[in-house]
Amino acid sequence: MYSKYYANIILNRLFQYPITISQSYLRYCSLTMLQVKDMSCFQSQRRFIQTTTKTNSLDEDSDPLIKYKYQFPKRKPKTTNNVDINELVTQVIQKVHLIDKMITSIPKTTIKKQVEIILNLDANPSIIVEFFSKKPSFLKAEHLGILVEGLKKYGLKEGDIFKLLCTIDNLEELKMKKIETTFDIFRSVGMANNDIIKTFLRNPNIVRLSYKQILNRVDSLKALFKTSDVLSLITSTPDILFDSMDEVTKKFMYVHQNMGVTQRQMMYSSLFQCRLQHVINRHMFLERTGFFTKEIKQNIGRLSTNPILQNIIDNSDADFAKMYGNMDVAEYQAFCKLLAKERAFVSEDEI
Amino acid sequence: MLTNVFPKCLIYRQSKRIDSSVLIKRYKQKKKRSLNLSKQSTSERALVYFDTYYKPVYKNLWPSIRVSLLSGQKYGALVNNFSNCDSCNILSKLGAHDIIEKAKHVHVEEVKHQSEKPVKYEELISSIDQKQNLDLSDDLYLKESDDSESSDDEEFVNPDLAKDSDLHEFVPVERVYTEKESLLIEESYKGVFIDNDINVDVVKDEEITLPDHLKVFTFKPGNVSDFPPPKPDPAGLLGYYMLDAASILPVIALDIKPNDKVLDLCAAPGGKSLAILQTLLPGSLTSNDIASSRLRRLTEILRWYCPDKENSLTITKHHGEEFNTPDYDKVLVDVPCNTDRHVLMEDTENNLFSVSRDNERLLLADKQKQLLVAGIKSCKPGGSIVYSTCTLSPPQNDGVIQAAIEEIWNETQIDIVIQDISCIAHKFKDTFRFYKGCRYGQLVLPSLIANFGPMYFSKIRRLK
Repeated sequence: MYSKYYANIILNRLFQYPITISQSYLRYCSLTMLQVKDMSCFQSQRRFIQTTTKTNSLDEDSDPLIKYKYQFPKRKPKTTNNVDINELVTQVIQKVHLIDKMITSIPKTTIKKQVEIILNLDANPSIIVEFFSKKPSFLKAEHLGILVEGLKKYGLKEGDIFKLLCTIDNLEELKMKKIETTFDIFRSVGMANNDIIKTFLRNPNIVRLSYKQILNRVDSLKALFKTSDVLSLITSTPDILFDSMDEVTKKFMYVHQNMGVTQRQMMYSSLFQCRLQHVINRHMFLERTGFFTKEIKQNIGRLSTNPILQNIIDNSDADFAKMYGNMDVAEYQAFCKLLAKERAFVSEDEI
Repeated sequence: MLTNVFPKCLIYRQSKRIDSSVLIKRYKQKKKRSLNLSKQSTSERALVYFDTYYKPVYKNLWPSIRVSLLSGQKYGALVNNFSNCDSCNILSKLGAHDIIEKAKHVHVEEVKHQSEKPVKYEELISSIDQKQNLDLSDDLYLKESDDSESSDDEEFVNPDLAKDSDLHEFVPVERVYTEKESLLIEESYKGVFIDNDINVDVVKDEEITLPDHLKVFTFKPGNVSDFPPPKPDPAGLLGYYMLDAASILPVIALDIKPNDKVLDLCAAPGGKSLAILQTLLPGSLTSNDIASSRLRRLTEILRWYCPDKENSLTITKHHGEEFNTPDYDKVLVDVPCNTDRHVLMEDTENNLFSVSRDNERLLLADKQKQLLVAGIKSCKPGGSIVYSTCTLSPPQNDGVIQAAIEEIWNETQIDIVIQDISCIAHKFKDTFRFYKGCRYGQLVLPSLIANFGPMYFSKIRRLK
């Protein structure tokens, strides 16, 4: 019988792969599921292990005492096998040298290491050269490798990680510890792991937010939407965490009171991604062309003939003008200018 | 003490004076529904009317027209030739251009008159019925006009049959209409233009010449800038007059020749009279209007733009229908109409669509016809009459022309023809948007990039 010490070592090695451990093995190791979860190797790897009651067939090449079934994660075959890493590094150095002369102070091994990290993200070599020319500070970022590995363990794909790095200017703000804390905060408010990843990819600046800020914003949004809708909203529009709550409330109130739109329609549209003035322009255009009528109390309960919010605000100016009135984009733009003039006139009057 | 007697009722003191009078009220009060109903404003009433009667006529163009009418109007600047200000230079520097000068460079090609087929009467009535939920099919009055195959004989009762008929017996009506329903019926009848296909000649004469001295500046299509207020010159005359640029088209259609005697039958507030004077062509101009307040406004405008020495101008205050003697070479009949843009923007009791002016509005087309007939009668043989309105309503545009021609033919010896002015539409096609569906004239439609109009104008030539 294996002692707990050896069981710990074996499990530590096994946890590198997403495997299914049979309960018979656990019994063999005199371990219960709870004990496995408490083990330090499990804590550090943060993996959830599924147990099955069935015993799995033995693999001839494996240890006969260990009964396990493993599945290697599906990985795309790397297409960059033929890339000459040294030549790529030379190209990067030449390109970056034109922008930042201090690159000569960075050792070539460090540059090579950074380039390899980005190359392993399935990035095109020509794009890698452009990438480092725009972000030369990444060449000396020591925690780039840790960051990339950490993000991979959270389930982010290589392509997504590379896109994420392209959007970040200052890598110092994006440390693994901060990311872990932010993910924990979102988990505590009830967001699923996949949604957290989506939110993070859409706006990595969420790591700057504190626990209090996130919680306050979620509570404020719960006054307008259901809890599940609030989380969906944050996933689809992370910018809502940064916008002023007054602006968010103004948009909500305008759309709800003036247009009679329900929360469900707001969820399906990109209301909180666009400016309030854009919504007003589109609404006033539809009202004046006759395609949007204000709901009267007597008509409540009947099907509304007004277009849905998604069709109002989510299309281009040209498509919108064509759809509602068979007009061209110049006419719609002229309308927006006329509306701006009216607003300026009204505000002068109020003063 | 009272609270001991009535512990659960609300004791309400009518006033702060402590006296024995208290009013006991129950908690539940019945709300009066009429107080909660929002009244329809006059401009909303006008908009509903336009949606009912204009939409079936203009069809796909209606959304564009509607939004333009409800948005800010675009203005043009009529240069004052009597002023010493270098207005042309000032206006050019602002980015505006002279639309008359631009039109002069447009070559008039053979323009095929592509008028749209007029909307069938039955389709119009059915669309209006759906809107008003009124079954007008039983209305005998309308059925008569619908029956195109009826001969003259059937209109009269056969006297032989009358002997055996029971016409003396009382026949109760099938349906009694309320005042509101009667108004709706009258409105639906007068809101629709029935094309009687009268046999009037449409003549295409020599090309209309654009006046050399008339200058009107506008900003380019899509530019919504406003002109700054005009400044007076040392003589106190203003440099330019801001007006709807489409208003100059009836003046151009008049085709004023040097020393012509011109009559402006309904002149106030005076924009078109001013434009006629700016051509520097007429030998004399008579500006007439019936309302004193409007004439005062006309006088005020002319005071700011015309020198005192201008003897060719005469202002009169007569009823337009009183003009019957053929004294004038050119007559402009700019009749009072629905003023579509004005009624949508001005939400006052004076609005034509207020309830108190319903009868006046229903009689408008008749009044317009009388004014046009008077204008034709006051024109010399060989002269021209231009009829203009600022409405999209077909009964007040082509309908009045048709009615006036019918009356002229039936009751006078005057012979008239309609003059084809499609060349004007072609010359100004880059500045204005024209409607191709008019029968007897041209109609400027409002659009967001060129928010002028609406302006309807038609030219009649008196032959004898």
